[in-house]
Amino acid sequence: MKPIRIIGIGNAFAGDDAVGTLLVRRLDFDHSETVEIVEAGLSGLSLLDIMEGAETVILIDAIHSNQAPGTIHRLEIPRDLEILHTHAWGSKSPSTHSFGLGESLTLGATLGTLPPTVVVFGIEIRDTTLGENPSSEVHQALDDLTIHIQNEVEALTCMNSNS
Amino acid sequence: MPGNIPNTRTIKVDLVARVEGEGALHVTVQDNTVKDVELRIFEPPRFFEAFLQGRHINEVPDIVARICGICPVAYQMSAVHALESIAGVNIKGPLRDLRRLLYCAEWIESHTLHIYMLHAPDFLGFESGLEMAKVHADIVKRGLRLKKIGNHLLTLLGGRSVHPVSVKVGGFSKVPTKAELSNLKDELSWAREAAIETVKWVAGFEFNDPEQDYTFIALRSQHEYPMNEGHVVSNKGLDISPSEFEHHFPEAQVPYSHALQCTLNGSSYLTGPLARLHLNAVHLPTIAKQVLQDIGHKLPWKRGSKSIIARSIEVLFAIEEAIRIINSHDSPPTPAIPVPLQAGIGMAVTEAPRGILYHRYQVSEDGTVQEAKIIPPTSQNQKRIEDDLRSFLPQVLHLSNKEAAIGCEKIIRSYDPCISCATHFLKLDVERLQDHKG
Repeated sequence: MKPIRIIGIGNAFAGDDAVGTLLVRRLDFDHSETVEIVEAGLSGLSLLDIMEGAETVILIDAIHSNQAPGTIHRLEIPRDLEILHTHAWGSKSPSTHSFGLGESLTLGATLGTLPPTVVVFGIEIRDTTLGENPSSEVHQALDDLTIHIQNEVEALTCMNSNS
Repeated sequence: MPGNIPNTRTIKVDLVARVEGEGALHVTVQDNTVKDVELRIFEPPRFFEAFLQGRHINEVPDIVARICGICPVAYQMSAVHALESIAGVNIKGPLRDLRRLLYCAEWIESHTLHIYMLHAPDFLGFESGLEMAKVHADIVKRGLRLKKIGNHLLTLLGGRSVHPVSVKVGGFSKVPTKAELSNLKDELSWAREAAIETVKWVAGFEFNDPEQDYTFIALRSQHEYPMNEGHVVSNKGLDISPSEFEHHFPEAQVPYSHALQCTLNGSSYLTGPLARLHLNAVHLPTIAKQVLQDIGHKLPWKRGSKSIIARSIEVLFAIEEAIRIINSHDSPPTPAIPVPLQAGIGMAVTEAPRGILYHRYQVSEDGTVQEAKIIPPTSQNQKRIEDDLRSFLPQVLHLSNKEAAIGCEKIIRSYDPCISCATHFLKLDVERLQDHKG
């Protein structure tokens, strides 16, 4: 079981909603024995299974909180669950089709099944039209966040290998 | 409200827009009598029928898997059986078993999610599965572990857990090894016990929605609980082959809904777990028959809410069937058999978690789809849901519109419709009108 798991969420065919999926496709680590990258699509509650066994989980998803498109949010779970619950894209819809990220993580927190460290990077989105490419603002954020996550995870893996 | 009820009132459950579809409920009451009940559904398969035109038959399983995130296997199964029937190919032996195993995975996953996270909260007085988890954490954990087993199986057979990619016309692109399947045995043994506990748990709920004279429609095959094949039968004498489906089940447009409504002899009918159980209980495995007897709910069941028991019995069946298949399975010599291209029309009906799913394809000799028709279970149940609501509403007319709408949502949820997203998070508007006719 690899201790660090990076999970991208979103519909790759729905404009800015693709951010999480597109971001994890860009990541490339030398530490493949400690880092696992997962494209989770719209996995809903299965996300809890996907996170199981990891020490640290980094999730990337779309956020819609009426801030400037491309704004990057860093949320720590469970501390920032309420924010996530309100603003995660696709939240507020506990249905057969989609338990949103907020609901899934809230359920995991309630049941005590979340990994010790869960961080969500949310990118503020503008347009989720099916069949469209991500907007230019989101593209810029993707560039920035990719470098940030790459560095953050490199630092984590160094700590892991030194400990 | 009581004492101040206008002659005409409208109970509306407003539209909730979703990627997968949209649903709403509109009820008109006049002089304390229910006048109109309109369940408004917008379903995506209509668009897919057009997408499929001009595509090669080998592309169809991957395209139809995208119709639904929770029952992609059903769409793939109805598609491949319909397409294979054009060439007269009938998949047998280990490949047939693996398709059935894949369907078991989907039933386990879909049913368990509905039982634990969407439906049980209605019986136990919680607003949502999240709220229920705060009080019944261990029960919810059991449900999620059960669901995970379905997910494991689906991933193993389908190549991934969402929108599986391994199903193809003629079989699979890749099949799991016997060893990979055997690895699941321990977890499936746990699941069998958990499924029995689930049946006993839900059988203890209270069921007090009005009794109905349901026309049940399901597949029936001679030797097994139906999934991939069989005749379409009813509890009132119907017995037809899938190719005759459209002759007996015409679709009609209703002005308020994008989903066509299917009827049988002009009336509504019910498809899904309740119907399957009533028409196929004889084919349940011994353990499921025993549990059914132990819980003391004697068939027939006339309340839609009891679908939660039917669903839980089917989870037990699917787990038992998965164990049986894995224990007796031999790897197929090849993951797929050739299916020659041939012009023609093929139809198939399979049992999606929510009920029968009909596909028809007209294909040219180079394998291009000329026409596709898909009739999903939710549009078939649409009229039956309206009839249930019509008979239920008099029980709640003395309540506020908000409380009445909550009751209506529960009736709708018993069907596990693909619009349960909309029906679980309803924004309610109350409109009261004076009756100008005096």
